[in-house]
Amino acid sequence: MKRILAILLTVAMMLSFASFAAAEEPINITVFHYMAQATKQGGLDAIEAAYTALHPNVTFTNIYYNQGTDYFPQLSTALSSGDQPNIIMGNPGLYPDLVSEGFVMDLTENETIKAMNLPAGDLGDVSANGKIYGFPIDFKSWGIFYNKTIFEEQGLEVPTTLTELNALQQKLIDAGIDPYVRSHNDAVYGDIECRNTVWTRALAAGDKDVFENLMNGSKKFTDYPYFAEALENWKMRLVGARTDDMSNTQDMGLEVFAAAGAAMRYDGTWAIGDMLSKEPAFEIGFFVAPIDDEGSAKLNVQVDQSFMVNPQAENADVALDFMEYWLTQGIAWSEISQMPLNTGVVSDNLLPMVKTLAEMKGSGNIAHYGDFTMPLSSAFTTAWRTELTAFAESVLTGGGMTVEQCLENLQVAFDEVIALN
Amino acid sequence: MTTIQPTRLDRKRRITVYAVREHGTNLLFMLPAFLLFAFIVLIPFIQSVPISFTDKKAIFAKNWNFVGIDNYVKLLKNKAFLDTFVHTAHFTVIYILGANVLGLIFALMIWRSGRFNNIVRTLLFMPFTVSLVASTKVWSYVYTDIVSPLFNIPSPLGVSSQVILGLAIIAIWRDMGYCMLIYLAGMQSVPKELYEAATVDGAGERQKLIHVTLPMIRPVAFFVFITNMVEAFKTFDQVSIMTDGNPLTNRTTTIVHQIYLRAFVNDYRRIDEASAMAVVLLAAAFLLTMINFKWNRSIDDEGR
Repeated sequence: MKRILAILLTVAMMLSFASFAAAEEPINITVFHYMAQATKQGGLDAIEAAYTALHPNVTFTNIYYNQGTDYFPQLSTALSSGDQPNIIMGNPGLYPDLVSEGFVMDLTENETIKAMNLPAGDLGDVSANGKIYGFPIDFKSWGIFYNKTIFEEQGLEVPTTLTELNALQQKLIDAGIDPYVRSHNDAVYGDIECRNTVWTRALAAGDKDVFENLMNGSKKFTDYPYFAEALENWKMRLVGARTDDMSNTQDMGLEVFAAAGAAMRYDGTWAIGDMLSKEPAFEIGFFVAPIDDEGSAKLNVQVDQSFMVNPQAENADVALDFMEYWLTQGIAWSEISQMPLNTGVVSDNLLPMVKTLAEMKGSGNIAHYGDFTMPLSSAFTTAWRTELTAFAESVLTGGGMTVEQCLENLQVAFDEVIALN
Repeated sequence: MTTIQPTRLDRKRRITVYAVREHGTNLLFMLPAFLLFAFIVLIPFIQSVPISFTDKKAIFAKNWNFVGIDNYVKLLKNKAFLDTFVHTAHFTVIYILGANVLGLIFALMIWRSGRFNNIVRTLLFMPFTVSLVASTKVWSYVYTDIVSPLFNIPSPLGVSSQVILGLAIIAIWRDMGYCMLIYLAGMQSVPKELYEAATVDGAGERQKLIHVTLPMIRPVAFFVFITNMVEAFKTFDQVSIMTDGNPLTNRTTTIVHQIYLRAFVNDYRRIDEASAMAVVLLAAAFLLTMINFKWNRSIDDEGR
C-alpha cells in the first residue's frame, strides 16, 4: 500500500512540475486584424496587456493590414505558408473559405458565449451555415454626426423628421456652410447611407430573407419598395456638394469635419475615437437619420469587432482563453476604443454618446443585421457598393442619375455576380 | 584519303573548354539575377497555368476540381475583365503619347544648348528616380488639395471617367525624363556628316529634323515605345495606391491590378480566374510585341 501511495505521490509531483513548467513556457499569440483606427489599436493593446498581467508567459503580436486591400492577401499567404495566426479578425459570413478549409474554430458549443446570453442578432452576425465561428465583441451603428458648435451658432435643433432634416440642410446652405463632408473614396459610405431605411423597413415587413433572395436571384430590387425609398432619402441628403466628396478617404473626411469644414457627416460609430483624436475639444453630437416624418427610423446594429480562433495554429487553447477573456472582461478594450460592448457593460470612462448607444441597443428597439437570414456575401457587397457610389458620383457631379436607373444598375450588377458564380 | 572538314554549324555545336569557360562565366554572372527572376516571376507564373484550369478559389484552398477551359470561357463573357483591356489600352495610349512627345520635345530643346543642359536634364530625370509609392501619394494630395480647390473641380481620382487620365499624367510626369534621356542619346549618335550634307543641300532646321533626326532616331524610338508599352501593361503600383478602396475607380483599373484583386482580395477570391487572366495577359503582351517587331522590321526592309 505504502509503495502504491509513494508511486502515486511521485506521479502527482511530476505532473505538478510538468504543468508548472508548461505554465511558464513563453507563448506568443498572433492576432491578425484590420482595425485601422489608432484608438482601436490602443484598445487591443490594453486588453492584451490586461491578459498578460494575469498570464505573464503570454505575449501578443498584432499584425494589421488594411481590410480593403492587403488584409485577405496577407492572411491567405500566411495561412498557405503555414505561418498561421492564432486569432483572425473578421465576420465568418464574409470569409467562407476560412470556414470551409477549417481555419476557424466551431464555437457553437462554447460555454462562455452561451453564458453571455447575447441576443440572436449578435450571434447571427458571427455565424455561418448555422454555426457560430466568431466572438462578437462590440457593435457598430451609423447615422449623422454633427458639429454642436455650428448647430448652436446657427440656432439649429436636431431633426427628428425627414422634413426637418431637409429644412436644416437648406438653412446651412443658405448660411454658406457645407451641410456634409463626405468620403466616397471609401466604398462603405454609400452602403451605410442606405442601410437605415433598408434594414428598418425590411425587418418591419418581415423580409428577413431579403438579401438571401437577392443573392439567389429569386427576387429583384424592385420587388422591395424600400430600396427605392432608401435611395430617395439618400438623394435628399446629397445636397451642397463639395469638390472633395468623391475623393476623400475616411481619414481625410474626418479631418475636414473635425476642423469644422462642414456641419454634419454621415459616418459609422467606429470613427468616434478618431474624430476626437483629431480634435479633442470637438463637440460632436449624433442622431439616427430620419427615414420619414413618422419617426420610424431605428438604430442599426451590426457586430463590429468579430474575432475567430484558428484551431490549426499552435496554442489554440490559449488563443481561445484570451478571446473568452476579451468577451467577458472587455471594458478595458471599450474604454480605449470607445466602442460599445455587445454585453451592454459600460463604465464612466466612456463618452456619453457611447453609453447612449449601448442603452439604445439594450432597449431592443433596433434593426440588427444579424436578424437577416443571410448577410450579403463579399461579391454582392462589392457590386452593391460600386453601384451606390456611382449613384453618389452622378448626383454630386450633376450627372442626374435617377433612383430607377440606380436600381436597374444594381440589378444588372447582381445578375452578373449570379451568372459568374 | 578525303578528310571531311567540320562545317561551321558543327564547329558551333561543339562544346570546347574555351566555350565552357567563356559562356560559363557569363552564365554564372547571370545566375543570381535569373534565380531571383525564376523565384519571383517564372515559377509562380508556371504554377498559375495549371490553376487556371481548376476551380480553386482561395490561394490556401486544399481541394479543387479540374474544370478545363471554363475559366477562359468565363473571362470572355466577363464584361469587367474585357473592360480592363479597354482601360489598359486607354492608359497605354495616353501615357506612351504623352511621355514620348514630351520627352522628344525636351530632348530637342536641350540637345544643343550648353548652358542649361545639365540642370534641365537632371530636373526632368529626377521624377524617374523618386520612389513610385511616395510620388504617387504626393500626387494624390496634389490632385485633392491643390488642383481641386484651385480650380474648384473634383479631383480626377474621384471621378470615374477621369481616373485613367489622372493616373496617366503621373506616369507621364515620371517617365518623360527617361524618354528624354534616351532620345538625347539617340540624337547625339546621329553622324554630323548627315547634317552637314543636309546643310549643303539647303535644308533648314525643320527639314533636318524631319528628314535626318527623326528617321535616324527611329530605332531608339522603337526601343522606348516597347519598354513603355511593357511598363504600361504592368501598371499596378499607382493604380493600387491611388484607387484601392474606391469602388468606382477599382472598376476602371488595369489588367494587372484586376489580376491582383481577383487572386487575393476577399471580395473576389478567384485565384483560378486570376490565373487565367495572367495567361491571357501574357499572350496579349507577346502578340503585341511580335506585331511591333514585325512592323519595325518591315519599315527597315522598306528603307533598304
